[in-house]
Amino acid sequence: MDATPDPDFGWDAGDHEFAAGNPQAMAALASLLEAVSDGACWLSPDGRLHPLNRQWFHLHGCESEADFPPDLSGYELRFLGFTGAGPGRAGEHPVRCAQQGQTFRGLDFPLRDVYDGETRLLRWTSLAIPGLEGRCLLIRAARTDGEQRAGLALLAGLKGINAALASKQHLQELVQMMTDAGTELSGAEYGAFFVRSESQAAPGTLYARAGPRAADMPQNDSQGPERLFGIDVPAQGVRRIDDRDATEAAIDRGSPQLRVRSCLAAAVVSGNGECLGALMLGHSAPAAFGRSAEEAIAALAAQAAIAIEHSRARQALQRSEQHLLFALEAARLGTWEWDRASERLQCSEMMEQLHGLEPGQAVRSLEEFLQRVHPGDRVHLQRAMRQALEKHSDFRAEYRITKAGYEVWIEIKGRVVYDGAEQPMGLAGVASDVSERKRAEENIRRVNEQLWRKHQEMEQFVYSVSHDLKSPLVTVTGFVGMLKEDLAEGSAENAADSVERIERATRRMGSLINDLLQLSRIGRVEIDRQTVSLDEVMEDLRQDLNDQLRARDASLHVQGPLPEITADRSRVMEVLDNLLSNALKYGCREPGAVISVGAARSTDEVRVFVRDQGPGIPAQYQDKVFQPFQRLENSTQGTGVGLAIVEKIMRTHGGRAWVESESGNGSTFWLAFPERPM
Amino acid sequence: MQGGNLRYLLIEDDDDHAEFVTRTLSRCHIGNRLERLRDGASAVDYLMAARSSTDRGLPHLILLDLKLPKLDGHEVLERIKSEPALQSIPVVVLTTSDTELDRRRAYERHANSYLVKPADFDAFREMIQAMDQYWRRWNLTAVDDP
Repeated sequence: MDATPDPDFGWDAGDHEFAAGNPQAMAALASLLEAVSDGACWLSPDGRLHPLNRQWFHLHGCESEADFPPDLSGYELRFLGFTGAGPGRAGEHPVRCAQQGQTFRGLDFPLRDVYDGETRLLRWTSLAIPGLEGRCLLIRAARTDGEQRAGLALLAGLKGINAALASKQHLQELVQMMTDAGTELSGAEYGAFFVRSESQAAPGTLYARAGPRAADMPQNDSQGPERLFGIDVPAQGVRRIDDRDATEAAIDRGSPQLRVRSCLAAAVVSGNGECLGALMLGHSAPAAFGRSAEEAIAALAAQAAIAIEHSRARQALQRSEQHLLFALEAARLGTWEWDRASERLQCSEMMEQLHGLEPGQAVRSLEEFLQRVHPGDRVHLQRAMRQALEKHSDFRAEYRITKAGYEVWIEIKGRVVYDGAEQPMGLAGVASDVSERKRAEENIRRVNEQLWRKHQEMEQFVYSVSHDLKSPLVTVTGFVGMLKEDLAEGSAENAADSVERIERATRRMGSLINDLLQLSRIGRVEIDRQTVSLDEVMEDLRQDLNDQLRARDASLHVQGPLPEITADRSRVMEVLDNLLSNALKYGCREPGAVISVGAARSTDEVRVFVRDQGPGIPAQYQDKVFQPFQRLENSTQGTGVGLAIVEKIMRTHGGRAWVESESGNGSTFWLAFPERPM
Repeated sequence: MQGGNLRYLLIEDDDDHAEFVTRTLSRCHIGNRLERLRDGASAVDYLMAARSSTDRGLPHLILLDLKLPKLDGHEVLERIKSEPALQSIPVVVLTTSDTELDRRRAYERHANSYLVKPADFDAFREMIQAMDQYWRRWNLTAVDDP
């Protein structure tokens, strides 16, 4: 037992000029002792106790002085029932110390609390009073069990809580857990966490409630902790109020429903000094929280601040990641990253989706990835990536892949990724499906081509007007002049010749105009698809052709039965009529000529042919014959539009027309109608 | 040669136009001789044959229609002007087409003249007469009579 002042004491009576019987000194001491939370008492060498403040009684479980036995042994008997030490022995020691002028430290009594029935440790520590040697000891009594036991539990608990707090990502869960932990460790009846919103100067909104009497606190409260707990939150650290000496009637602190007498208010402050919130712990008993609880709560609050900050940062990161993910998803952008050293390729889920990969069948290397790219685009893509690495530039490329059996166009964009030493580490970027754009481009290209073809047809038309139509006009005007001269000269023979030429030229003009109109109509008028029996069509045509066949001593042989096709019936008539009259005109020069018509079905089209036994068409003219106003022979026969009409009708049906011929061996004109028209 | 007889080669698929030109030319000068061919291919064959033949002789002047079967006038012109034995023969394009494209293409292929057939009897006759007069009376051609 040493004589030095107990550093834990917190107050030192020796600082006061103490003298027993000095009323002024006694009054000063009394007022000092009333202000502290510990109990204080004189012990006289005769073993009698002289309590000095109200806390002494409270701590020893007495309502008032009357309940308290002045005699130490009586006290022991009534309250303490020293376990292990045996009654009397513990009491003997302080008395002996008092008699011998010695001090003692840390004498612990287990004491059942009158308020809650809990057994707590009470610690007596003595202090020698100068001038009273051998006579009296000043005894300081303080609850230690709560501090010691709870302190140990708190320390053990804090370790676990720190880990748990660190793993909690959701702010609300985290705060609730912290409030629960603080409440449980401190033994508080009320635990609450108030947060400070950005618009508030101090924590004001009740965010989490805990403890056995949590329900007594309002569920939503935004008036701040002071109204409930009657205590201000410190700017930093922990503030404790113990209310050890107040009578119940005197308490009007905080909410009357809570009747908080002990309170711990801990500020939760971020690393940069920003107040995040406050952890409030309350109890309806006085002196419910010891110093170690206070320290533990301070530690908990510090941990909580870190955890909350982390959680907020994580949430902010998650939010921005979610925003990014949402944007990537909305734009259907896949992301990828390729590390040059390891050759590893990392793809986002969307990137895999774009490339038609199942989540499990991810490609892990660039090589594997390139295998999926259309061979025609692979080299181009590789070159673009290599150049980006070499020139430290961005790159963009388009490539095709096959996804679920369809060809898909992907646009990829990327840039170089650098390591800490500014060395290129690899490439990273995004990719998206641009098939639709490609299709649109293809459409535009096709429409452009169609327009260009139309334009050329138009040019051809204008040309034909300037030439083919003008040509008979030149004849007419020329021979009308000749006719006048013939008449003036009285040459009837010449006049007849001129008239005949004029007549022929005007007829040709008429049929040319008809053909031109017909040709221009094909592109404009919608085709009316129906099931057409080629046999029926041939029957109809044969009736019109019979006279001409007879005149040329030719015959028509149909290799029936002919199939049915899906087409515009009147157009099909027109096509076959054109081919048959060509065959008559050019292919039936010898008597006994035969025109054959037949059909063959292939996998995706029906082919119809018209064959003649004429002189045939040399190979170099075979394409030309389908162009308008191209004639192989003298212009007196035909207008040069017939086969152009055939070709155009077949084109509007999604089919085609061509000729197979050898000089001297006749010509076979083919028509192909698609089985499934567009 | 001045005021003498001209050997014309008329390459024309339209019988009526050919008849008109033939009659008009024979009215201009009784000594004019005219050979007529109906399509481009036979005209090229004829000229290629005439090039090496001594008895037939090359024409002094070629009247060339543009719209011809088998080989059109532009192709015929190209063949003539790229054949050393033929390229000195003046070629007068005689066509109904007055499009700029045809005119440019003809001169690019070294046509010596480009005449559009008028849809007017007097104008047509006048044009043929003037042409004949120019080439027969005033102009010196490259080929002498054999």
